[in-house]
Amino acid sequence: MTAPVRPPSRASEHARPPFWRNALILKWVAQIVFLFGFAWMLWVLITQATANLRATGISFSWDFLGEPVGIKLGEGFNTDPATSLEAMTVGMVNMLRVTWSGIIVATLLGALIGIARLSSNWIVSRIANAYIEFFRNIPLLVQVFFWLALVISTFPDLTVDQEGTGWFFASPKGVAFPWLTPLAGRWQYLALVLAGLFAARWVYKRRVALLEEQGRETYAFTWAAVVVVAFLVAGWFAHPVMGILGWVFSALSWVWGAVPALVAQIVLALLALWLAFWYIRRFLASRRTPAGLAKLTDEDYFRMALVGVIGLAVAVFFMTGWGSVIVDRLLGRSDFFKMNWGLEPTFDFLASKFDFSTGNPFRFTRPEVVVPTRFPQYSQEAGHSLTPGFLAIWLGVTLYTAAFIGEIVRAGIMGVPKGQGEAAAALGMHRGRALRLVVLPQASRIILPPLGSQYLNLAKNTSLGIAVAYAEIVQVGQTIFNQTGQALAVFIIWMTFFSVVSLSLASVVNYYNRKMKLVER
Amino acid sequence: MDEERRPGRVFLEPPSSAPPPEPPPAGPWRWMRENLFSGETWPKIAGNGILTLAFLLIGLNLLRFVTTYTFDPARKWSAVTYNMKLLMVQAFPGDDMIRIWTSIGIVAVLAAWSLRSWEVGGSMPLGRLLSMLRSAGAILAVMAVMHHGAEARVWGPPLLQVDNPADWGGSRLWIFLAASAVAAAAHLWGRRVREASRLSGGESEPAFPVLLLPAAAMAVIAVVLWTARLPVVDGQFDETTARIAATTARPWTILFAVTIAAYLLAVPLQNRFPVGLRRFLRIAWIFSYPVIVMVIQRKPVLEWADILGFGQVSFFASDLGTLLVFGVLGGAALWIVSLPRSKKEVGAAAGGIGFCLVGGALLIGDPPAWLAALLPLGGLTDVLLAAALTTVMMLGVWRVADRVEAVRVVGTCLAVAAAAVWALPMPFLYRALVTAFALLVMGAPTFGGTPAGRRNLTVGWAIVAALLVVSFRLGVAETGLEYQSTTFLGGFNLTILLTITGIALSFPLGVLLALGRNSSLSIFRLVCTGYIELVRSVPLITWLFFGASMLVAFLPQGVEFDELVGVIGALAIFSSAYVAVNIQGGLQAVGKGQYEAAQAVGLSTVQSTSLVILPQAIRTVIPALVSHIIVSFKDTSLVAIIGLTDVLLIARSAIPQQSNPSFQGTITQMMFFMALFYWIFTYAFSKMSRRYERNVGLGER
Repeated sequence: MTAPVRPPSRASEHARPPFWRNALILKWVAQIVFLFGFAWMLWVLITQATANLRATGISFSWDFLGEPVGIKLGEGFNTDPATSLEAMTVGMVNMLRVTWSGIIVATLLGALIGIARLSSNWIVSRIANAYIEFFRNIPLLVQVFFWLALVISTFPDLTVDQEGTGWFFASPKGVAFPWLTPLAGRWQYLALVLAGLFAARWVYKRRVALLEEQGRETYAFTWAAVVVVAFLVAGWFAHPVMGILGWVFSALSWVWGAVPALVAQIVLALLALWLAFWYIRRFLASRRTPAGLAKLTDEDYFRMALVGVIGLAVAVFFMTGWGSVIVDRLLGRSDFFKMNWGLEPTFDFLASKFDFSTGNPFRFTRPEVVVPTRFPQYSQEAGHSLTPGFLAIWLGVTLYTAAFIGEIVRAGIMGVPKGQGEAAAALGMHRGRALRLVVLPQASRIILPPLGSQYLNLAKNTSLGIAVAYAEIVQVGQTIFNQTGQALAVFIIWMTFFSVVSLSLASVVNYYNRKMKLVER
Repeated sequence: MDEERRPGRVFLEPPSSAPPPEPPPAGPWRWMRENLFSGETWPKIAGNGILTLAFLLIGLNLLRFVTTYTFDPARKWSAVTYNMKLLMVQAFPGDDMIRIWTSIGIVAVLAAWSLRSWEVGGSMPLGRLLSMLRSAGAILAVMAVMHHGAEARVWGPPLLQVDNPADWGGSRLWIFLAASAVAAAAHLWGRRVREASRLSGGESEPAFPVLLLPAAAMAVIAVVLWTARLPVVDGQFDETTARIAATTARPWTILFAVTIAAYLLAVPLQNRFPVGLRRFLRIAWIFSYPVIVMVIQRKPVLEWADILGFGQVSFFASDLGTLLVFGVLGGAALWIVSLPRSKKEVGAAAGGIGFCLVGGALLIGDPPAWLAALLPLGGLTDVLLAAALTTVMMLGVWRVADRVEAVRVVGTCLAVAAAAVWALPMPFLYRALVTAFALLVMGAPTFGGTPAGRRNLTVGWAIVAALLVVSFRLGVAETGLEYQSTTFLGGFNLTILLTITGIALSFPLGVLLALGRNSSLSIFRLVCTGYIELVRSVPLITWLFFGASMLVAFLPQGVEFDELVGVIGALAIFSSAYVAVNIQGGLQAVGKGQYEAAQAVGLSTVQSTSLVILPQAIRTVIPALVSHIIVSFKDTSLVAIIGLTDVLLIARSAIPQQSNPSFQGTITQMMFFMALFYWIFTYAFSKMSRRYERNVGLGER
């Protein structure tokens, strides 16, 4: 027996609360008041900051970026930058160097430690555990200082007697080791190897399809590896073929030079907008489930809004001519606006690298100690040398992050039901194979999200390079801030740069995360 | 049984009635076969054997590295022992060290009482302690064997070289023998304990209270303090050994004794007043922070006239008078409005409040110039305004029908008064007290309504009023108290101050941010999300630069403060975003049914959030918050980069570069020591918190 549903009576409509007790109105009034208060506070702070700066004789502007700075950087692709912007760029590249190499090594080491932690071998798991407990409980800065002190105080000084080449040098000036020194042919070779990677991917997919079709072992991975090796070997001799790309780039350069600057502006602006749009669409698509669009969290909204705003800002940036100013200062050329935003010289530059030249792509060189003045040092031309600052910050962030990654990997593997490994064993798989094919793919779903945040932490922790005089973005920014007093501008550059790095890392991790999820069901 | 099951008490599962199955025969060979050389086929056994051997070599050589590095004659450990005071408190004046000891004593007593009151620790099976002892003894013995002396001849294959025992020094031999003996004794005793427990069906597994361990450690440390000889500098470049100074040994011994005595004293206290002790401790911990800051930071020239009110200072302007007037009158008003029986009561309370407002205006009325120009009545303006507000309040209370509505009217009028006092000239303390009182009255309809709510509100008002008065006297007021300059703050002292202050400031901010981010109101959500994401996107060191050198640029001219304040602000900004993320995770973990249930029993949004949702959410994420505290502790070391002399900067720069020339070039060993130093604190804290969380079942809902 259900009671008949009565329509809402008229009386209830009349009893609507007065507007000052209406929850909806109150909510919105509160929000709008809050928003105004917030905006007012920001406005006060910013006007105050500009007024204060003006009072000290420094007015907020971006002009300092183009002005010459008298700073020498410890390392980077340009140790004697002409302008602040150039110095900042060197700092950014240095930061990225530590980040990408640190991420790769920390991931491998962390995975090893995580697996070792779960080993049935008592001593292996104890030592892995000791590693984790030791490294993650000590402040990173202490570790970085320790590595620096160790490098500087342990290795003997370079002496004049050591002049000449050797296999390996370690001294307070850093370590030097043999390296493949790039030669002129490397661009053609690398382009060919890239093509080889795509070919290998295609072959792999074909072989896997064949396996699914015929149900027999097709050795997909071996095939792909063979293709890559074939390209690596054959490319050494065949790389002049890629000189064809030189023609393509010259043609592009010619076309680009022929169109008016406005076209380039519009194209670049549209490109920026389209990229932002594409990102947002991809993002929404990734959140789509069979039942419809999943509920978006605030982070999702924030991320989409941020990408949209950045896309719009870049578009405006190109349309208003600001881009030319920046590119101009970066490369120190004044005729950039006429040259269509540097794309024409970029294409020219690329075309000059693909010229059917037949030289070797790389040369194996051993490190060399030279004595230009009284003090011996490593030659920049032969081998590869790492400065103590780089070693300290790199060892610091890598070993520190590896400990956290080890814990994450362990938790991920333990999160996979034990039956999965047992089932794989019952099918006759070896332990390693079961781990690779059954356990790890499932564990990776648990591992990836926290792993991504560890990558972000690693990227942010590279900023401790300032403590060991490693010329990364924060250290360079701090120096420039001390020279010019442009606190706000430097802070905005830091924030933008780190946000961009975080966003890119997060999107890479999200991409893999999605791929893993799709495999599931 | 249920009595035993309340949270905070360690509880062992009742043993099942069936006797445990006979364990498989155990023995060292079997253990090695299963754990070091496992496998069913020979290749597997060989593989595992190689793995074991490789890692064994790694482990042994690491141990060897530690001992060899530590006992290398080239080490100058006097750089640590001689500079211990510098590392801990930097240049804190020696005559004033009693302040530091007193503050440590306050914390130690509170900690001991809290341990008893919350029944932390519980008991540990004796077998586990024995196996830990056995491992420690074995590792120590292996280290003694593996150690490489300076000139000793070495035996053995390359990676397994050991010194010729004939060349061993006396102390090394004794350490080896003692460690081996401890390991062997612990092993044999452990076997006996296990066997006995197995025979008795596992019912009487011997256990001992965990807190005996720190007590024993304190006793050992005290003995070491009075007997050990530590390296000290001798002249410019030499080292010799000396007893630890009595000025260090005596205070520590007293502190240990006080701690243990405090714990023992807490036992009868807790049995007699279990709830009261807990309440007292909660309040005491809150007050310990300002008190300790004063104890460490300020010259103790208290102007008793300002505090008690005699001589030139009238009683009502003194701290005690202020506290009594505000505390008693405000408490009475809150007592009435938080659980009013009738509208008449609310009217009486409102009348009292209005009377106080008018009276206060009469006593201290002195309108600002613009108001005096507008209403040229001199001191009368304040009185008129207060009278007008009181009239409105009384009219409102008279007009509304419901008693709770009447309380809301009073709250609204008080909010107006609280806004007004910030425009009128009066001591900062009065403004703060009026504002806090207005906030509590506004919260009365929400959080009152039950006897418990009424009691909480009134006690809360008493605490807030006392805290405000104390902080005002210690921090803001112009009194005879003098600041020691902040340069006196340094070393580990500064590290602890930064950690605690940063965390304490970031928690309320983080809770608000998390609530805003979880709110259904889109603008709050957007602003909070933006704040959290932007703060998190940039590394801490940039925020520290911001706080130390850029923050001043954003503030009005003339506002100046110590670099330290800016750094604390930066730490709080940074930390709050992470706290918010953690708490938001907890908020999301609270089931939707909880919100709906809270709504269904008629709670308002504020009530359901603060009484139902937040307590559950915070309880869920306590483990995450604790690990955030540990991370913050480690992160405070970054202030060394911007030049605050925390313990790390002293160890890295001050000692190797500035003091005695014999300490030059000791950076590596100082960093070795710092690593150990930080490691002990973080490791112990994380172990302890994990143990407590497991025992109490925190982190589960």
